Amino acid sequence: MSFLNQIKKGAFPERNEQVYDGIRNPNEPHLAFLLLLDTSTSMGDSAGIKTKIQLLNEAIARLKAEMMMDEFAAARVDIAVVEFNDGARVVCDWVPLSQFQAPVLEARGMTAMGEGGNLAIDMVKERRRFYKQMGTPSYQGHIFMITDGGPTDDTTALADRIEYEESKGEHGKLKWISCAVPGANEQFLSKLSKRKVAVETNNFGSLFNWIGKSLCIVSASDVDDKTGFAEFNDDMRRIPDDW
Amino acid sequence: MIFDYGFSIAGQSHLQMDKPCQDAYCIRQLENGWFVGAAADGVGSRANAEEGSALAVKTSVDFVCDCMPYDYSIISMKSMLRTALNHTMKTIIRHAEARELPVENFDTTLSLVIYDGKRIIYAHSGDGAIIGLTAFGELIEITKRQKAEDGISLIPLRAGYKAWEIDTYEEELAGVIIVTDGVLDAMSPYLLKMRGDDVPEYAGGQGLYVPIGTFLADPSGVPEDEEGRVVLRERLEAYVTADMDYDSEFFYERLQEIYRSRAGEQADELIAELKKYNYPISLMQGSQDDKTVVGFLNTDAGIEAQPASYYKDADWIAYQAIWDRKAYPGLYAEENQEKAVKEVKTGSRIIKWMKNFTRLEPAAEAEPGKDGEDCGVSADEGSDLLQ
Repeated sequence: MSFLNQIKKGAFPERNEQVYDGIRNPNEPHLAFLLLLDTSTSMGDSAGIKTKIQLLNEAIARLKAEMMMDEFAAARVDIAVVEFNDGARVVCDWVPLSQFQAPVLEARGMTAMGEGGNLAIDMVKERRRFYKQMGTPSYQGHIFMITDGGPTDDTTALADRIEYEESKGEHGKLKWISCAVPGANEQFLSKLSKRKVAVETNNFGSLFNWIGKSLCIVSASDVDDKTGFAEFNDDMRRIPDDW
Repeated sequence: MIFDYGFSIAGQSHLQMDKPCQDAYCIRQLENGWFVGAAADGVGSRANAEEGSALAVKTSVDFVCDCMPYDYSIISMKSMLRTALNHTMKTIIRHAEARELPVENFDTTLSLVIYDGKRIIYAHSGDGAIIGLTAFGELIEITKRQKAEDGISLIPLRAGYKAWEIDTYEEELAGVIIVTDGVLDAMSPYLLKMRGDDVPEYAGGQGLYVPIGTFLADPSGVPEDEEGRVVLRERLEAYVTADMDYDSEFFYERLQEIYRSRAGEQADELIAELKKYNYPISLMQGSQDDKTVVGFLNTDAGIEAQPASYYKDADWIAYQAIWDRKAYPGLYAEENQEKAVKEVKTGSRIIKWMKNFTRLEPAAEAEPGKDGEDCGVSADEGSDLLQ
């Protein structure tokens, strides 16, 4: 089974056990992956024995371990984390996946999605500008926004920026994917971006598993290739279903 | 005698997506013994890219063979190459019209070379490259990589004469290769293209990885018999294909032979160093795009040796560390802070030194241990700091 098919079928590929005493490849392309996380008060609500924010923290921690199994993702993905509640904050500035330390997030405040989204887009665009300056080939940046609510601030500028990037298709600097967990304003999210995915339960693990697999597919491809996303897990819905 | 070779190989990313090889090449020998070669890379996102590239190499090489100026003058040949590209583009347009498809579907790059055994006359469009090995033993990228502002999209042949690069390279070339971006990416990794005071220079600052360029463009070690040449062509192709089970000994065997003629006794050490990390192979394996190489290697050309350091493997760890420091400043915050403090201290020392310097009378000599002492830097040191 080919590498890409392995991932598409739902399994992370087996890690190449070759030990790299140094660098894997001196010409590694890079992929800017930004997690934009809603940490408003409602994320502190109970979701069974744990709160949503606890489940989110656990899923983020697992994401690294899963993606590090893939030699391409391990070498090519740069990750940053931004949270939004009363405002927006960079929780983790760009680091290579291998150096990523999962944060422990706390739920509080409102849902400043507009501010958070704009900060995320600024960071990804700046990152791609850096890659270009350094002559480093890079993939389209990927922003995955995870929310259980709707915005409490102005999102007009954010919606315009997302629409502008999406209108450029494969030539755009980034892809924006809105991920809705129970409680999210799905109607609003459908207007905000072309790509939206919803999970039926508070199964953050399933969502992050899909995110990880999707990024493995991208990072295993050539930078010029058009790549899609991993197959959706059973508890996930893609809205609309044509992206 | 000129040894020629050429091949186009489907990239791993294309194979995985069941896409055909969209590169093409063509080689012809003129009656006077000169060679004409072309390589083209069909633009990946275009529906009929493989037709565009195939049409481009065949049409342009045929045109050169048919319309070569009788006097072989440089001016006439350059003019003819411009017409060749124009004729090629018109042929692609007519082909698209006949198929009732948009001409964009057939977008392609094109690099076209005439080699007389010493110099080249060339036409170039797109993000491939023409690379030469000079008689001084230095690898040089003769053409510029034509990319759009986004740094990813390429400028195709359709961009027209304003984008086309048509010129001659008059310095004597012992070997010349035409490569598409799949090979150029491997030969010219971005870590070698970094510039700055803190970046050590590698192999003359050309940004080309010497082992790969040497393996593909150096005429040393090319067998005289046709049978041996067939084997060499197979080995060159196998290296560029770079399957995961590729036997790297074939690569190092040829490189060692070349290095022995350039670096003498140090060749074995240089090869051993390369084998340690095996980057010439991993770089080629890492390039997943279609790959094309057309090579003309003049086995009669004399090649001077560069210093042995030219053939030494790049200090990749150091280059990567420089890149990492720029890419992840947060991970080096402490180090950056120390550096900043040091820079401020150095800056204030320079200011003090300059103040002292301007206070000196022109004819007067500075008293040792007086003006120099209180800022802790001598006049000579100060000059160094200012540089």
